[in-house]
Amino acid sequence: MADAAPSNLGDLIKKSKILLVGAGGIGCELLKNLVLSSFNDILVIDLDTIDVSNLNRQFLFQKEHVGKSKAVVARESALGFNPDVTIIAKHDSVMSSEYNVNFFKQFTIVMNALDNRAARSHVNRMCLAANVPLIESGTAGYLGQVTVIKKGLSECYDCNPKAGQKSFPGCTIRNTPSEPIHCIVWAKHLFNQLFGEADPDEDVSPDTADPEAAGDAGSVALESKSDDAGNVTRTSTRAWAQQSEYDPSKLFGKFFCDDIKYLLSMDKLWAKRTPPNPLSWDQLSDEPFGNQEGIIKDQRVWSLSECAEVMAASVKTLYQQFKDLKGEGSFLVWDKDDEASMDFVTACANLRACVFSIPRKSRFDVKAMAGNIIPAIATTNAVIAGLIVFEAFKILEDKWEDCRHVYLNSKPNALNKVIAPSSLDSANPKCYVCSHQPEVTVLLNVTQMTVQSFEEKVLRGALHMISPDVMVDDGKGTVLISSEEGETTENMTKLLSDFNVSDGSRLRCEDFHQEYDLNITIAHRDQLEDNREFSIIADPAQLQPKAAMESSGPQPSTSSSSVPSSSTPITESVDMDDDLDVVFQKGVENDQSPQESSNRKRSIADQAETGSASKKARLSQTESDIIEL
Amino acid sequence: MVAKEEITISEAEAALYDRQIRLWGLEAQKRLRAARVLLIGLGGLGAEIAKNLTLSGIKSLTLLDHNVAVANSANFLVPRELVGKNVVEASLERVQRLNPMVEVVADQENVSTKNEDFFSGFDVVCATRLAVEESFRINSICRKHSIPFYSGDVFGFTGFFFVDLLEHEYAEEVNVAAPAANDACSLKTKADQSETKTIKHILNYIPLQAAFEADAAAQLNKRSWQRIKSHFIMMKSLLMFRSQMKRDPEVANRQSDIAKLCEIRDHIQHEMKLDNQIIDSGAYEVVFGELSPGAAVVGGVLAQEIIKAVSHKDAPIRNHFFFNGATDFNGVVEAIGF
Repeated sequence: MADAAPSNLGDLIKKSKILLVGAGGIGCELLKNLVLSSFNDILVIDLDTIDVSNLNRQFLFQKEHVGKSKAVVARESALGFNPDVTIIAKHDSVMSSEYNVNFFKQFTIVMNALDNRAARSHVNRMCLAANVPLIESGTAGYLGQVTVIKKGLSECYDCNPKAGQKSFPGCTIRNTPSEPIHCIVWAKHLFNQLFGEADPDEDVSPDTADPEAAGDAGSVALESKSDDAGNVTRTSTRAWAQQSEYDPSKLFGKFFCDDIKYLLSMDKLWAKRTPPNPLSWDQLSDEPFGNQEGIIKDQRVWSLSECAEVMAASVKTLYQQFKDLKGEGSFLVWDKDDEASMDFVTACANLRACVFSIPRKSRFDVKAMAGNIIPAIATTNAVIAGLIVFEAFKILEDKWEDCRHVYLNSKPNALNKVIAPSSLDSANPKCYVCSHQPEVTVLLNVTQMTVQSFEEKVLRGALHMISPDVMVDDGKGTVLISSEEGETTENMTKLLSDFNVSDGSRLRCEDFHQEYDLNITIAHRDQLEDNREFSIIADPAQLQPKAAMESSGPQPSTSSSSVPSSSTPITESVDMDDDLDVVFQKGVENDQSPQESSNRKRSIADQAETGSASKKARLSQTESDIIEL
Repeated sequence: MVAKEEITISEAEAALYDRQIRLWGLEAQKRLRAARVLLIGLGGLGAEIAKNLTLSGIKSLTLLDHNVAVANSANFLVPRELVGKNVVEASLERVQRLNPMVEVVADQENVSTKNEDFFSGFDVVCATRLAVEESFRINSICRKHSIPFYSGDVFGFTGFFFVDLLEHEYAEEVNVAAPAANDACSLKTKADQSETKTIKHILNYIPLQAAFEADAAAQLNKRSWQRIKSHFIMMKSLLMFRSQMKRDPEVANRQSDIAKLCEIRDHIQHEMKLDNQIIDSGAYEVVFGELSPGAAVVGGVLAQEIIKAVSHKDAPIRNHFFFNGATDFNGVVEAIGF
């Protein structure tokens, strides 16, 4: 192929060194294209192993490879297309400390073929630090995008705030669900309470602190004691379950009957809503629901009695797995591909849905919602991978002005384009990652947030740092967090206020590995919207004055049944470029959670949110899918 | 037209096709499952189409090509040690391995020897690397038997395809406002189905010859012509080159082939009474060989169109698609010849 190309492109290709991050849908197609285009020095890295559901598109893998490392098998298959190229495969996470800035510096181009924001954000930072051009891409269903990120030339991955991860207010999940997804989230929380890593933000019992129910908890509540947080004092869910050795009928009785009766006593909640119906273990209907014919087994919606049967069976299985665990404090991790875990969530979500008169869903549908499955096909990935290589050619030839942000549409746009390129946007001068002196403001309650929470949820979870060092800018150089193991362990359980961090305090955060310095200004708030733990504002101009946020007493809950479903469009003002026709939809979760540490789990109470960009935003057009790079 | 029999999908298929069933639905998957496709020409573009269709789960894929496999080709299905063998024979094993559930058939004959009976056994015919006159012939046969027909090519950095679906009926899902989902669970399931509505459409297509011989400049409105004129002239000059020279532009004859292409371009423009030069000779620098990314882009779009046609779901392209990976990077659609 090299001689087919004009000029010296062939030489440039031969001399280049490529880092391919990801060997999945885009990665397989891209590796094939690279090898066929005479790129002969490639390093491919992927932490994942092959699953049967990958095989409809990740064509470098066959059935016999299921369970093996994607990077390793991809390399083997690709060598079959051209045995003369050098491919190194790493079954590893690109976020590991081994891959430092010097590692990234050795590459001519880095190509992302990822499926999650954290890794993209991290690679973005590393490429900025190493000053290596990055080609970023993403696909979902029929849609896809490719863009080029080059320091100083274009916007980086974090220049424009991404719509926050979808989360629901606690009271919606615990008290007043109105949609199947609320029931599914509740069921996942129940799994964690019973078998997984118990998270105080994932309580499944009625929330007596629900502002909507304020002042009215009915006669039942009068008989119970209430602790400071307003929760009825009781043993933890897990401890209670263990008392009966996870007897399914007892569990059922509590979650789908007793707790529901308690909710009913909170009259105010049901003034304008259909009140919930407690279920009875031995009076469940076996009436079939919906379509029974001509569908995949999993697409059949279970009857109520089936739900109870499946719940009982899965509880038994999971309890056994839980008991078999070795090691103190170990727990099960929910996995959509684990049969019992999936059965449990489907059964419980449907039982709860029935309680609240919400339509039930099949296991097939629950799996998609609970597991954040993004539909995927071969052709979209094939087109995007081709477009990535075309961008790479331009980069190699230093044709930066020809580089594009390219969109693949599901049908021709207003200009008859199925493939629509647009110019790269320039960097956001206030970007919290790539600007000269990155800054953000974080709203939180300094008397409630611990140092540990701050590190896990704010710095790592929301700001995608991986080994932060944090100093309080108080003239004394107080060290809050040290990336050196063991140095600041005793700080972890302390509150920020214990270090005299208050409204207006500044923290200097450094991630040595990412070569990333960030100044954080703390804005103390007693209470945040939707009971969130924190909020991040990238553009300080977006910050509301403190007075407007605080008022006497709790805010009325915004949760009600008007919580937007996943198809609420963003309606920000737009700079409509002729060629710009991306569909951008707020809040749809398209992150595949990596199977790494448990800190990746998100509580419902926090949500990373950056202020809306003052520059252009996208107008939501027609329908469904989004790509969020 | 693919008959939608009441086929059940096995659990193994449900597991394999899970991610795509979640996109286009079980009905579409069943229709794919019944489709018999003929793919003519197995260069880089053909290999991409073969891969994409096999992965999608069609009933059968017949690969027809009498040429031998060459080295340094964008056809990744040929193991190096089988270069020199017939390209279909050499590619067969890798295609089959992509999806054991698809029946893959190898046919090493020259397409020009195939008669009407041969083509009538397929639900879709897709031609690549053909002289345009041969495409006319096959398209006519397909029309006679109501068989959807595609013809595509990749030349260097650029590529295009044509599609003829005769009279095509398809369904489109449109969103409508969903009512509050508060029905008792014992009642109807329709509650959340009112969120999308299915609308049926019919599209009419024209034969390849009519499109190829059309005076696009005269027929299209000014804006459309501006948008696609360079693509159109490029496509015609390349296909006419192939017909006249009985081969594609080759690196060994770079300069004289570029000159020949310019000559053909001038002829086309003269015939169409166009005075301005639509593309200059430099544009022909990038039409040599068959670039892998070009094959991937065109092959991906084309294969997805075949999937759409077979499933009768969503609006198909009508009737030309053009892509140029050297100039504007647009993937643009136009209806030419209507």
